[in-house]
Amino acid sequence: MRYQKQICMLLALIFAVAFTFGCSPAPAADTAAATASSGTETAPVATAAATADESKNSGDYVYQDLQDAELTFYQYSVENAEIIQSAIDQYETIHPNVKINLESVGGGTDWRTSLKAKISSGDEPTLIALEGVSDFDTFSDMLEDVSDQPWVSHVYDSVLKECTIDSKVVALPACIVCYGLLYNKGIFTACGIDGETLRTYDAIDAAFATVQEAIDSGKLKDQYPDLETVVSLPAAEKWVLVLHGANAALGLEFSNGFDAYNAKTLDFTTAGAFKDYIDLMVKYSADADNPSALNAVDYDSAMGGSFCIQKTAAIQMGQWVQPIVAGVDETMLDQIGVLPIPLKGVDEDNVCYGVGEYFVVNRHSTDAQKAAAKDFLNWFYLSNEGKSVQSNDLGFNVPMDCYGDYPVDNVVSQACNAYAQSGNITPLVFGGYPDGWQDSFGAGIQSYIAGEKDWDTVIQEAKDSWAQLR
Amino acid sequence: MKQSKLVFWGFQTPCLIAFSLAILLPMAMGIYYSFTDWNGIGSSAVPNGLSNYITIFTNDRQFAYSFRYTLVFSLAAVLLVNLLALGLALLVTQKFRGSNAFRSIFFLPNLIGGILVGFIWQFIFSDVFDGLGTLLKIPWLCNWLSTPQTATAGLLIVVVWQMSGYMMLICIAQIQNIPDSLLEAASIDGATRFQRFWHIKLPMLTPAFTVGIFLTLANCFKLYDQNLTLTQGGPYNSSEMLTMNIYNTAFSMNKFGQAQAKGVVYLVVVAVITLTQLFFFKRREVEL
Amino acid sequence: MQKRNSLSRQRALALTACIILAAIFLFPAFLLALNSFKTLKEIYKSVLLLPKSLNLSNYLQAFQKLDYLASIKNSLLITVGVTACATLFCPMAAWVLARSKTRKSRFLFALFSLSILVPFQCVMLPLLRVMGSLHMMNRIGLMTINLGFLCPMSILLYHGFIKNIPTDLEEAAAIDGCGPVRTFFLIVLPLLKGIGATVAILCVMSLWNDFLLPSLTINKAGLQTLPLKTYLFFGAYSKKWNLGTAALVLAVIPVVTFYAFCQKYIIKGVTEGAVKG
Repeated sequence: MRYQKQICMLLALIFAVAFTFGCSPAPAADTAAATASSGTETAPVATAAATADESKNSGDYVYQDLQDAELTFYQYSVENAEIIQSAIDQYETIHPNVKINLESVGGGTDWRTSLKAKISSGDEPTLIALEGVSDFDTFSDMLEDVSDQPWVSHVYDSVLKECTIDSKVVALPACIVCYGLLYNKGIFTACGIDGETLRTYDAIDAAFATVQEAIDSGKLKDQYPDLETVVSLPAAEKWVLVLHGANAALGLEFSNGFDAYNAKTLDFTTAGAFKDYIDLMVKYSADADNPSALNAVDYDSAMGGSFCIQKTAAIQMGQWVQPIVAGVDETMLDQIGVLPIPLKGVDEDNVCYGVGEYFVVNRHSTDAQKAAAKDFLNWFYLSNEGKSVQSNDLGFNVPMDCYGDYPVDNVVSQACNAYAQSGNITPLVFGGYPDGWQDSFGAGIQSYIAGEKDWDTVIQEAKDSWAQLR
Repeated sequence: MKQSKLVFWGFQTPCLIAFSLAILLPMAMGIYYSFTDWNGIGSSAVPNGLSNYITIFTNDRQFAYSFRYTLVFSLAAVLLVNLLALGLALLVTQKFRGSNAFRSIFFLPNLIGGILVGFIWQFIFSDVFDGLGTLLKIPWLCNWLSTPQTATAGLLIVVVWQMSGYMMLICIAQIQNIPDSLLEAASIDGATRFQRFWHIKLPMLTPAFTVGIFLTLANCFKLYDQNLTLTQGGPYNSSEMLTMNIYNTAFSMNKFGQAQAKGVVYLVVVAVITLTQLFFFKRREVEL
Repeated sequence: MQKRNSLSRQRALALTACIILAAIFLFPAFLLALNSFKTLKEIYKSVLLLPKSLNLSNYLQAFQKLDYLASIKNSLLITVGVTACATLFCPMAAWVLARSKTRKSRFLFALFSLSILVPFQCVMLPLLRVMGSLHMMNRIGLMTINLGFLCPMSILLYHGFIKNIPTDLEEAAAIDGCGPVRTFFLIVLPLLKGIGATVAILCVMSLWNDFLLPSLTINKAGLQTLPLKTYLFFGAYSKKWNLGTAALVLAVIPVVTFYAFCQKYIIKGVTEGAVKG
């Protein structure tokens, strides 16, 4: 009996401690407030010392002295980690008293989860990469107002709208994401097709059929021994189907991410055209006879294991594939052209194009950290060195008006920029999808492809889950 | 009495502290969060009574599905892992040269851990199985992981590959504990090899299965990495196991409170199952 | 004579079965090693074909990019540190739990045992809140939490073993005036070598490959462990399989060596009592 009492007390104690942890506001806020106040005390010293050394200006970047600061830069693209680190090294030679720790999370872990975990621990990064409207809402507590920054005046107006909440600019548009149907120019030319002329659903359909015929007849065997089929469709990847694929259709229903984000329900008037598009991709894929097999095709086998080694001739992808293509076969890069994602009868000659990555500064960091983070972004996007890293090393297509001398070094971006100039672009709205919608709609499309459900059911379920998740 | 109490807690302290910080305290906080609407990020966690529990039981078909799926999967995995482990153990305890090397080989999959195992197996299912299937004209070898059945089978294969080595060691240990004299006496009495196995070896192996089944069950219920890398829960969420369902609720849907409620339900059910199993097997153990 | 014949036939049969099974078990590892010598293009063309030439450039690159020596040092520090703590503290806890037959001790033991069932992902967020508010987002914090996660399994194993050691020796020691601390360290601990090796290999395995918790706590230049560095080869949009496979082989070598080294003890350890949990 005595022990029972002790056990009860032990449990009570544990719960009491748990509740204190659980109920108390995030510890980060306390420490941030405390350090912020100490930051303001030292601020006057810094302003006094802020005599700009003009020899350190570069391009559109104006040098300014900073207080000592150490901050964390959190981003999710591990393939770019080395390049960004080298940019940071350059920046630190100009500002030796600033230390930027780059944390790149990816490879099997979901970066949002890691970020939430870091926030939970109070160890919040100062500079953070986010993907769009939905993230702005999820992490709304952290967004610093950056309206007064020099780069703001360089950003295109249409883009700036997407970075603005309550008339405050809260995010730097890091780069343009663009995607369409990538195709292998060499293979198409060998079949007597000029990809530049394919601007309608029927034309693309016919061209794919021609290529498929040429493959079946063995005509291309000598030149392209590995070529098996026209299209790669990685249906195992819900982001290919929903995040990007469905965006081609929903980008016509909503004008931007905020629009999608505010929509309580979904009309999906373009659902029919989207079905035709999926059908087209399935029809010319390796598993046209047994479409359910497509649900096991992942990004890696569709891209590296098919398109890059010329086993297939077309795939729905975007500017991010440049490093992987270069890694497999440098000479392939010249062969890549971009077809529109054809939505039959709706808009048949558009590629998807918009800001896909943003950098935000964390409001909870100390003043010195925030100042350093903002200055780093200015240098990274406005200095000549930074611009060169963006355009040449990262291959980022930066939506700012000061990149005339730094054309983007990325085949897909260049091709998509041509579409943008003629106005043939669909905006990116996937940042405004409800949390978790990609998962449920993705499962729906997969079951349509496998023949488990008919299209109308899938669309109805997608609408229901949109409304439910909102 | 005083001193023994001091010793009891003194010896206990280091483990108890680490254990409380790592599991007990977070678990208790999790239970608290399961009664709130916390989204996992902000500082606002408003208590909302039982509504999370009501939602997961009444309005979450995927949770119910994942729960059933995990139970069935674990049952199958427990059977296969332990049967294979027993088979391997019986093989390598035949006294032939090199049997020790084979023990190491069968244990090796335990050493290659982490998420990358799933990636390697993906290659095997997509390239090797497909290649074999086309070569030998066996259609069911092709397109693995693309249907619910093959995705489940694929997961089972990986789990069995990874877990049976350790269970084999446990079985070996128990087999070596069986006195030779017992088996010899039986064979003098005219027992066939099968009779010796069925009536002597197997009953005496029960303790190995008590532990083996408990560990396999626990590991299957916790399965996440292999599930993520091999099938991502697909096709169409048919292989989404419980931990993945909880994880997705918490992190892709930002419903942390609801996810914690699922966690609590899961823990209660699994605790009941494993305790029943332990109780049932303990009673049948033969004292050596 | 006939009996011996059938016995040798039985052994031959077992040997054949073992060879076939071993081939199947080793196949993924073989595939891993094979592809670590290929170029990325060769891997994508077929994972099964032999490499055109046996080039070691993947290994050289992986070695450099992993910062192998520094990373291995970081990995070793955590693995060895936590394993040492686990093989010291867990038997202490298990011993008093096994020897004291009170309700309190049974309750604590049940608590430890049931905790084996808790998936890490379920407690991740609250855990990080605890760690953050106690300033544990560093190597020491990570090691403490790792110890906490390894405790239940280790205590379970030790407990099962200790239960079956006769208490005569300990009683004799007590009569000779040996205090409990000395009894434990001089008499009990030396008996636990075998099971200790088993616990150690279990700890080493999970610590060496651990990714998620280190990625949240010590993902900083200078502290990164091997898995953290290895994952840099696996981006969302481009996976460098050629370097990744080489890196994985480099990462596995130390654990395999360790296992080979204490295999003798492991089998013995399991033999002596892990099964009686």
